[in-house]
Amino acid sequence: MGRILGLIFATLLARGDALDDAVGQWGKKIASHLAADEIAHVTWNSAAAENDYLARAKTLLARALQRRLRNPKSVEVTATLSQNLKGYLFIAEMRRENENIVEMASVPRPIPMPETAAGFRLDRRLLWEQEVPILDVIVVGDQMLVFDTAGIARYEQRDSKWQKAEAVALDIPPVRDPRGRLTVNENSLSAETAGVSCRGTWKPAVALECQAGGRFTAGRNTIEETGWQPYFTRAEIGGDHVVGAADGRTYVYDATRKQLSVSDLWSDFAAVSNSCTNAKIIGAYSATNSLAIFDLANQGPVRVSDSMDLPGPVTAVWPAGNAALAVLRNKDTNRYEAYSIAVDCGR
Amino acid sequence: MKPTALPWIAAASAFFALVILQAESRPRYGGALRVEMSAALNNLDPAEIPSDPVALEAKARLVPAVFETLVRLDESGKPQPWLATSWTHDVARKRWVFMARPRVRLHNGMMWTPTASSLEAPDDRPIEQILREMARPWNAIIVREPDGTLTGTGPFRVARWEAGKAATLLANEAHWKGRPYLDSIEIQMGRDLRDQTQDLQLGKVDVTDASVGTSDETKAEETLALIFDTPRSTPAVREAVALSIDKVAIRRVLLKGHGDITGALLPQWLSGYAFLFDGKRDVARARQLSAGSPPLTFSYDRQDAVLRSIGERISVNAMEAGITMRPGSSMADVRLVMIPITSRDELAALADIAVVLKAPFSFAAAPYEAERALIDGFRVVPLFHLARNWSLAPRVHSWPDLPNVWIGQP
Repeated sequence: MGRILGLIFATLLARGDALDDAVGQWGKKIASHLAADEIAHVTWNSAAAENDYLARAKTLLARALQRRLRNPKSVEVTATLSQNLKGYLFIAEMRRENENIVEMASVPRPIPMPETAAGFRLDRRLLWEQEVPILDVIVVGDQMLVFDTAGIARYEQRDSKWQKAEAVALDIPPVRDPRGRLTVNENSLSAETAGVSCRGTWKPAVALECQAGGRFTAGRNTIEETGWQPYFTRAEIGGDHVVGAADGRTYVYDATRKQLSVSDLWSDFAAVSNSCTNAKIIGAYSATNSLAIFDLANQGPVRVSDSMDLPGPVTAVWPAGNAALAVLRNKDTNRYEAYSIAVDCGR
Repeated sequence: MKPTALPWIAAASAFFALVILQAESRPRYGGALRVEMSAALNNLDPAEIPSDPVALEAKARLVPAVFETLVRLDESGKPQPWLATSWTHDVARKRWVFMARPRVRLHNGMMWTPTASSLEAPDDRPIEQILREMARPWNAIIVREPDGTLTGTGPFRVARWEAGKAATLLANEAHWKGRPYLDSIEIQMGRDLRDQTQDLQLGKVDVTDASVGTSDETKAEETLALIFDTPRSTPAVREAVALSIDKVAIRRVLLKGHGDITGALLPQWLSGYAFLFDGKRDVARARQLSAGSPPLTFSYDRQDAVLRSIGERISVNAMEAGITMRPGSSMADVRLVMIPITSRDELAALADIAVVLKAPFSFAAAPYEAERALIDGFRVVPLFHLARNWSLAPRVHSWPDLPNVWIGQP
């Protein structure tokens, strides 16, 4: 608990202005209850460990209550640093004759910096983050296409930064668990999402024509394909089919469609192969916010890497060349983040 | 607690744990959710705020699934756009004007086309205050049909309503955020706790109420409190009752260590100042205050084994202070009730508690002062902050966020 508070307070240090203002106002409120010949004697009653933030608050309050008096009367003030849903709360209690006076000041809670997690044999690289739910991202050279629930935006890399070149709005019907897929082939582009399929070009500019229908079921989060029941996702590994089915389970079938195994392991997955390994599955765990690499062995998935913890639930995993694209909703920032996830054969 | 309740509680806890483990799976569309509850609601009209705390909790949870507000509070209690996408001052800076979200359909299939006046609010108080009032479910947008029925824009529509008995909510296929995962919600109201538990065990239902203090969930969303309804008790007698209660023993023995002892209405996580309200026991002082106290009638939910035990213990404690509290009917002098924390905004939550207490309330006060005003005079004596308890079938995911609840594998 102390370490968590320490981390939060370290972040808060960067927001000194808010603290200065809040404690300054708080000090004025406390001082308004003091008579002309009284000074406040403050005793801090904080469950939080002593740290720079608290020390600064103490200094600021002492400054706000400073009075130069000859033979002053001392008034006991108990100060507490508390916190509630919205932020931090400074509370002062003053016991006068027949009255218990309470004065408070609040400081908004900052957005904690997300911790970076390092994975064993899984390598992640942040491609893009934004508030609008990301459905898919494709990077082609110095160009990047971001498909979200508002449409498609094209970015160009200039001075090592992605700069928005254009944005095309698409009339995408609302879906509670939105999914979508971009496909680029030379200059042509297709974008598919629930109940809508768009085709056109992305060079020299994004130009698409959309119509109802397509692979993604209208109003749902499943994909429809001839010969299969509607599913979330499907991959082929060494002749076997791995199917994330609409019932939430993952089924493995052989080439003759005989069911080999079933598990509740993943919420989404993608098959990936690169120059250093044959096809592997990058799976997002159902029960935790993490990814891991899996092989198919003994007719079922076997984890072959440590899991990589992520700062929020994974909302999409798609194959992307010799890597995978994973989109997650960061629980700390509430923003969507798209990562390139590669299988690292370095150890 | 009677020994017979233990297996039910253990089973309920196991179900609860299972649901938590599966929380991040890919959601699945379809299916009917079967819910049983103790509360008996006459209607879902947002304009009628129930003063019965059990009904208040249920209605505050169901109304947003059918009727929506212009703004909503997020998880951290901050107002966010909902049916209104933004808000700005008018030219004269005397009113706030809210922009209606486009392409929102009512449950009757018509487009939602609000009048300009329904999207304005006078700029007579801070905008934060205006927004938190607007976010209360009781201020939801409703359209009254010629036959008197109410139409909303929420993710579910009312397909059947038998006042106080049963209801069916159907998915709104045209909801502006996408249809909910569930096809429907079947609700049985006014069910006693024993029947609910039995139905859950038999697989007849997916969600039921659960006995007080059986959840390991740590976030308190209810306040167990005494409410003095009649003028038979003076403030001194009410304070004496408050001082007589051995909360430490009740928490340790009857609540099995669950919940937090308190003297505040709002839990510490929401207000940050709950510790300022002292709730310590002082039997000697209670005896001084109770002189001449008339016998009081005392009611509590006898079907809930834990509440019944707590009620009995409170009667014994009060007797030690010289106050007689006899079991009575629902019209008793004192009630032991679970007061729901209905909002993530302190003032909005206190406003609903004021309805339960039938006490005046002003959004203009600071939360601490507003809470102090409700507690002064000991009309209400907060005892414990407790988590809201349900028993869930293992196939239920994302409860209690109704639009995002989905049914998975058992």
